[in-house]
Amino acid sequence: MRKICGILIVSTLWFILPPSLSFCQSVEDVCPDQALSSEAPTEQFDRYDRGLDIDAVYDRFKYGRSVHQVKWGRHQTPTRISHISQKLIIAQATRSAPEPSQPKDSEEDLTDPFADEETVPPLKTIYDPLEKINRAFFYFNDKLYFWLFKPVARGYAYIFPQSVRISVRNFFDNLGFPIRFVNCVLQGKFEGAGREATRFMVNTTGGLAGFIDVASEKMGIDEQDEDFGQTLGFYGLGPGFYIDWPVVGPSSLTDTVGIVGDTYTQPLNYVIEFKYNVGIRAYDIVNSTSLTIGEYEDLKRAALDPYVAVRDAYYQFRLNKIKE
Amino acid sequence: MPKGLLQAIVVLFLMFAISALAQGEGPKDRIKGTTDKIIAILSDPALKSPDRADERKRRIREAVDERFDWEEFSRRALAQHWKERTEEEKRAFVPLFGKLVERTYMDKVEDYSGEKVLYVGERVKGKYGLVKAKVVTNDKREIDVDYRLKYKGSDWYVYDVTVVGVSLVKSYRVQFNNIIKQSSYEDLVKRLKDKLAAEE
Repeated sequence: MRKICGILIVSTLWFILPPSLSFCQSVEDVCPDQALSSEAPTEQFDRYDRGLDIDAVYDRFKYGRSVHQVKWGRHQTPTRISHISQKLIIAQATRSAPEPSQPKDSEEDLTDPFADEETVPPLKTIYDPLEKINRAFFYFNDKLYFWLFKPVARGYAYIFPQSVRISVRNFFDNLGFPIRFVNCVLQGKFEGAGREATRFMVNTTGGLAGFIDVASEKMGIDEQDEDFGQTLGFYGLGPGFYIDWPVVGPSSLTDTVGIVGDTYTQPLNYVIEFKYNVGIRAYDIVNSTSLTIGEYEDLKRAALDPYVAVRDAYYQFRLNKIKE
Repeated sequence: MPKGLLQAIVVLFLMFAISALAQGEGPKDRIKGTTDKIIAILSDPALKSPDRADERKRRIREAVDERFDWEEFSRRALAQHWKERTEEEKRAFVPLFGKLVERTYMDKVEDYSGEKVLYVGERVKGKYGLVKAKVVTNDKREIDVDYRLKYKGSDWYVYDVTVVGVSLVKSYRVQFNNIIKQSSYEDLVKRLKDKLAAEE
């Protein structure tokens, strides 16, 4: 019970604190004359990406309302917000802010960012004040993968056929149901929550404790990939900054809080002792690694700076997940 | 009207209808055409022997080159740095970057083993098009792949590919910007060349 209270307090604080913090940082970004007068070099774009959605910040600035309320409103009535963002765009004439497109088609890139030769599209990337430490951890994780996880996963894959490994992955996926369900509900995605509940029931029974994903294969009910990090993003909280955790890998401040939050929504964590849990988790990693050998190698081979490539891929991937 | 004439008209009409269907104009048909072509090369048993590996690679490369606009790729990846380049530098950069993207693409495609490609959506806005596809892997995962195309001259050309929400152009834009800011454009070109030379 104390644990639950703890996480509730932490998450409430998280909701309240960062908007005000980011707000302080972003005022000058929002300030019209500043934006008009400055040439707005690329670093400035990086800066306003760090905190919150700029529309939300402006909204808060103007109406003094909390950011997540605004975000909620945007999903319900996109048009209501658009006139506000319109003003913002005028204020930011020099920096080609993303146009307020329809909520579902977030492909702002559809329009040509080069149509006006003078403007350059903002370089969206994640704030990375800990780059030096992160690079060290990146190096560590890289070695950990090539020296430990990959060879172990290879040997494991040699013994067990792919079908077995897919079943094991399904089993672990099925166990993650509470996390997905709770976060669907938290984001008001009740249809998704329903799908998750159906999946869990069908796969746990008909799918023999989750080893077979009957729901996807036979009924076409796909997994709703939601977690607490995405929920925080959904309500307008930016990633904060990038953290490349040892072993765990790429993450952000928000997603780290998300991961911690998710461990509380996983009932198994209350039942299974910590030391066994670590073992189970390691097995999960080896199993899923055995199914994705080669993906990291491809990414590295294609990149000029693998660290930056992984960081940006993580940022884009999470952004896309939140949009979905 | 004589019966023969009517038949001829019907046949002619059908032929037009079929040909119009076959050579669809939209970006989706273009992507599908190129993908089908590449899958045909990849699954051609005659090309699978090791001594014809080079030919196989060359033919895939040709099919990709036909549909991808490397200049547009480069322009977008370099973004603000593109304008600062001389014509000569631009001419030298485009094939270099094109080769790197192509190699990345080839890496993904080379071990093709019967994955299915589903086309789930298409949007056109002026001269810009978006094609949404899903690649269903053999271990039953679905990978979202979006193609962005631009209508140039009389055809659609790809200028960005997004895989599970990660845009190739955006990814390179961040890397290029970092390298140019920290050292120089010359260093970027050097690193590109080293990268290409390393594993050829």
